[in-house]
Amino acid sequence: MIRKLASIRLTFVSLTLLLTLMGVGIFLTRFPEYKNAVKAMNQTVIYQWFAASWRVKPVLTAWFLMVCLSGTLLFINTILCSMTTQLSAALKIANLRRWSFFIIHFMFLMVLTCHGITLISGHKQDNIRLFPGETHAFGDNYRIDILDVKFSDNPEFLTMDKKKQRQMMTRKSFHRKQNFVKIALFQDNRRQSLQKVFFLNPMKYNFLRITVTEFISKEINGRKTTGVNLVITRGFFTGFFFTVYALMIISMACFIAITWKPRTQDTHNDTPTIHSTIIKRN
Amino acid sequence: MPPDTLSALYYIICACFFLALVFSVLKKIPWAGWALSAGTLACGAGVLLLVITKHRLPLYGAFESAVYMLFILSLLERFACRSDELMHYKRRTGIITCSVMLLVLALQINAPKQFHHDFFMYEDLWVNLFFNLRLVAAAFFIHAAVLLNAAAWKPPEVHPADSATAGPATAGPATAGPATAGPGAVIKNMSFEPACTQCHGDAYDRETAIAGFSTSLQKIIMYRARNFLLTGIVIYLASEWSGSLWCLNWLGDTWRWSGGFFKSTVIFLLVMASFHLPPSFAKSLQIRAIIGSGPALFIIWMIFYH
Repeated sequence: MIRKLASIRLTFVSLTLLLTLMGVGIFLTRFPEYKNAVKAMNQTVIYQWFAASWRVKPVLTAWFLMVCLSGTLLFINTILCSMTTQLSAALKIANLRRWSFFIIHFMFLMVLTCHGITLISGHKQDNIRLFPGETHAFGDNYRIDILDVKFSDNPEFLTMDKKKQRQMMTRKSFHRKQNFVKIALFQDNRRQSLQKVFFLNPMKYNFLRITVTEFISKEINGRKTTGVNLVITRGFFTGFFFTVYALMIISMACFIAITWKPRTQDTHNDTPTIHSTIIKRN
Repeated sequence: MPPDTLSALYYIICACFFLALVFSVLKKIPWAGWALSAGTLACGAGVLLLVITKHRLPLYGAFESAVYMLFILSLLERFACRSDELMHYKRRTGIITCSVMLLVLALQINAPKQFHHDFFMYEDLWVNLFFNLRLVAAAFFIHAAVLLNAAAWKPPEVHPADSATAGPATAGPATAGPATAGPGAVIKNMSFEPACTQCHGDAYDRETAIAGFSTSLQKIIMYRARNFLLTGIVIYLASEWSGSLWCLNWLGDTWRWSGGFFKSTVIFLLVMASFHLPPSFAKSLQIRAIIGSGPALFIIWMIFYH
């Protein structure tokens, strides 16, 4: 049973299954109804979305469940193959090739674990639209106060559609650091942090991240006021995820360097070997 | 920059690679090499123009992606294919590479010949690494696919010389006369070392030895393709790592449920599937070539039709 679960055949089957499901996902996002439903999956932590969407979007929920199950199958297959085959081979004949091969798969398991953990842990709140003077409470007695929003560039950017924004907001016309929101973070009514937050520069406190994704505007008492669209996330494993991901890439690079030149059995069969020297090229 | 500069550059690149293809088909390998080098220089000029005029690396947009990708691909074809074993495949890799390059260029024929418009995010390091390394990875995937398909479908042409002087090989080292192997190459001092004289007997004929040599060459090229496919996925994962960091800083999370992220995952899964074939598939060079070409085909579709 363990041999079957650790087999390369099962690896190929689970990879093919995941490929098919990703293909189905790409196909579904071509339809506006499903595209919006998939977009909604990003607004909260996924297990909260799953609980709420089962009745509303059964097809998408079933697809998501199958992705999770296929991922779990791949995880089980990888862990069994790593422990039963790769590790024992590396311990039996300890060479760089075998150890690096095992390390790549171990790192991949770590990355997959992080992906799995993010599905069932953490905190996420999307689409928090706030203007100066407004507050938002969340999580463990946290509160954010919007002290000020400064938008120095062309105010027309705020009302353009996304496609036009992508064309008009160039490095010359949009100055990232000059358009910011000043946020004060409180926990139990005690101020923990005060920071200027702008695009690609979120507020970070412990494992909390407050990211500005958009500048918005509305009219208050006949005056146009600029506000922000925020995302609040809390992920305990983000740093660990990026570390193991980088280690996986480095271990793959090392494996390539170690195995760049083929072993004899990789390139020759059991018919006579011809040793030749090319001496002339016309 | 004069308005038609990029259009002119596009047609120069097309002409260079077209000539390289024609010369490869006509077995004029040195001329094909010159034409390919000219195409590489033209693509390099395009990349340089972009850097000088737009003050950034090639990142996004059909035209600049094509020029940059073909620049890397032609460099790989020109310099990575210089090993002795690849001399037997030079014509084939040249024909396949030039055909792919002309196909990519043909996809741009009706598209505007212009660099992608600027965007304020292009000042961020992770954005640059994400888009740029993705194009580099695409070139590596295509080069791997070229090598796979050059080797998998037909062994190389290895012909004994007309003036071969050696008789049948005997047990233990023996010397044969010169033999040609592929256009323009002469192999001398071939020695035959039977791997197992008890299994195969004491005498081997030249055809069996050359067939074995051809099979060995095929395996060497398939192994090289494996190297480039692996290198491609390392570069691609570095791109994805940077992209995840960009996503975290821009949208608050490392992963987004969206068509774009699903497509990115498909590339990774396709490469992993190529390296985890069940034994029945792995035995067949043709199946390995078909599955190994998947990442290249998909990434071309993703970059130019996304």
